Amino acid sequence: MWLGTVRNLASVKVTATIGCLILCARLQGGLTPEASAGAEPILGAVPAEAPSGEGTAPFARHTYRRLLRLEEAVFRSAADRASRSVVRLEWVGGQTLLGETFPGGAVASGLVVASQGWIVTSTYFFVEKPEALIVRFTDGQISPGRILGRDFNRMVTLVKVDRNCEMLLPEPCPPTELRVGMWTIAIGWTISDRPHLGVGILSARNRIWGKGIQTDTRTSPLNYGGPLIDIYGRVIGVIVPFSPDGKDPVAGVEWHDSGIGFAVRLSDIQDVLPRLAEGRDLFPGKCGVSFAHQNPVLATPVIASVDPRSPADLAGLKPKDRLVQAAGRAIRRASDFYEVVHQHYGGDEISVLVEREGKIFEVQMQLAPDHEPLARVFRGPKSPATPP
Amino acid sequence: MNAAMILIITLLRDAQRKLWHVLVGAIASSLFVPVSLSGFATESPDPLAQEASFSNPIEIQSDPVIEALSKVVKLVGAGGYLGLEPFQTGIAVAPDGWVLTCWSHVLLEPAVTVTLADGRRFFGEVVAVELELALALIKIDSELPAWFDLSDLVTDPSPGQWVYALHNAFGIAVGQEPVSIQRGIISGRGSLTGRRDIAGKVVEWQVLFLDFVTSAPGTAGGAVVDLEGRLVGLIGKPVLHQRTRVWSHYAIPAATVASWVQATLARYGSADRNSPPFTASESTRPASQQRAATQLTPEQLGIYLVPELVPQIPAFVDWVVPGSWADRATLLADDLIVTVNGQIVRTCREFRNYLHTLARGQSVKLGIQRGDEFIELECKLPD
Repeated sequence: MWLGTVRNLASVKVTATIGCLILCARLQGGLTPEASAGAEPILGAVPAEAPSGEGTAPFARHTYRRLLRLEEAVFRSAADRASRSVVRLEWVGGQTLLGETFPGGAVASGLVVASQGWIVTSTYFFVEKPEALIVRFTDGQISPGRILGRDFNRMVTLVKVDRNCEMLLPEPCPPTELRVGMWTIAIGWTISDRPHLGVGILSARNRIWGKGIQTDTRTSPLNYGGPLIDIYGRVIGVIVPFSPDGKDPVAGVEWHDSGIGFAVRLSDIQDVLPRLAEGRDLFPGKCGVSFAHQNPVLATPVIASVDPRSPADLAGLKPKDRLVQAAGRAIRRASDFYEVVHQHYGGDEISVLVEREGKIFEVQMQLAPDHEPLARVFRGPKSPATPP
Repeated sequence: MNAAMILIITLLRDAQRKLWHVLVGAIASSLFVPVSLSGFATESPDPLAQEASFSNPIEIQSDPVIEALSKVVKLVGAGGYLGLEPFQTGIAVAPDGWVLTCWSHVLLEPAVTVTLADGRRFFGEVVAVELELALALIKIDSELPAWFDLSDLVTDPSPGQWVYALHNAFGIAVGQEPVSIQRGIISGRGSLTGRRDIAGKVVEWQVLFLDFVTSAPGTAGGAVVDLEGRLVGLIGKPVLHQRTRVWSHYAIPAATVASWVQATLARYGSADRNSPPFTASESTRPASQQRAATQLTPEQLGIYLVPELVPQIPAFVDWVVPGSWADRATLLADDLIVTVNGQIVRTCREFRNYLHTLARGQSVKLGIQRGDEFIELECKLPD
């Protein structure tokens, strides 16, 4: 009876292991429902008795290997599904004319985002507009492209081609389905004949003042502008370089291939598309206030100083004013306010609730575009007086 | 038999029932699954007992990828100044002391130190070199305990496939320590071009791009293996990709490497050790790119490009000779030539070089940027 029970326990363990592996794969988001249904026979093919081996039971390794094979199949099918929306941009002139200092050449990845031929890529490559731009699709078609607008805050650029892209639209991944730790696949198209892929996981949902998401998938000029997708081939966002405090248009590239990569959510891009389509360049918003504490996360939102003629000055804000609410969001720390400002653009109007001498009142503030002269980044030597 | 014992036996009988199955299964698997997902852990009754034998880490587990570690060797040679690191990786390719690595400055020394995975050290002699792929074969006077079987390669590596890279990045493994392992996937297939030899001949070679960072000092000559420990490729020297200006993380496909190794071993593995050490495979460059008197130039077509003050000047048309081929093709001054036959030409030089590859009399398609317009012209080149 004892022996029988032990044997039963062993068989339970085996069954449970297989079940759990499938479950894990599902939890990780590793399998579509159809794929996991198809997967069961594969895992089921694992011999119930451990194959005669080299002393240690190779059962776990065997099953683990099957799981890796499933992962490979999932990566491929996801990449295949998303690849038709990926384009390759090549251009003449522009940043490469004289600049040799930065990684990245005259080739970049892009993503189709609207049926009227709108393609999004990374502003990183287009700090200077190129003389001519060619867009290559995965079906072999080549179309000339034209830059409509560039966003220097979320670092995306809108390119227009004369082609109906109805059939090439990507499927978006609902933001509510983002889970830290889920698989992410980065698709780029710069170095090989077909779009290439890299895998990793979602590291954080909100980074760089809420402008983007973070991934440990290797990102670099090889896939900036390409999509970051989930395992169903749905697009989470567009890969861009980001830097927490750098204001240069090329800031963040120093982190390429480091395992700290960023993408702008597709939904955020959709919001800004109409403005870019008007042919405007968008810059980060600037407010012109500073707070007492250097660290914005620790600082209370009490204004220490207001820059003269800045948006805050024009709106009538004064030192010792306490910010209560901005753009409908409660402000508890200075960082909350920075986050609101960073998510808006120069020219945007935000309403701010201010507390002064016990009274709360509302002011409208039009943010100023915050940008440094761009040409200097690539043309001519850097002046020694350049602030960091 | 007391009451407690009876209770236990009753419970164990109930274990036959399904509910109890599920419960026990859940407990068992909650203990088990994290271990199985962590990599190469085995279902050993006492894993700690095995970890105790830490002195020889390679023998702990019998996984094929771990076994492949014993086929990778560490090389130390010339370098250590001017930012050139003196170490590199190599792989054993034949039992009688043959080690394959990349041809680099590390081998510019009469004898290279070869440290096997078991810690034994030998002096190795560079016997054969392939200049285009930058490969080198080293011979040591010893039998090798383990080697990669070049007849059992991964011949069809595909993007999305998990692979392991085994190499001594930054020379971090010393003495008896095995080299490092990295895991990632094959990112895509593509080609790298570069000048490999003194003559400056441009060579193009097919590679596998990897999605993880393998371009670091010391990785060159390392192995990329699949889940079964079979050779997928050889990690090449750090290469700055010209088109993207990013360091390439790549491997030279195993099949390419193996064909040279096998051919060379057939020659040098025999008694004929007096052959010259340097060999270069036949040029892979297409004959059409050889310079010839019949090559077309923009000027012959009536196109005068803007002066090339710096190499990066785009192919702007400065002047079109009236009545010339270009005039008949309706080219105008200030046109920017963007594409030729769908291939982008970024600079005046790229346009000239592309024109060299075209034969007279053939049809050509030019993509022109004129103001805000993109125009395509199709016409036959002059005979």
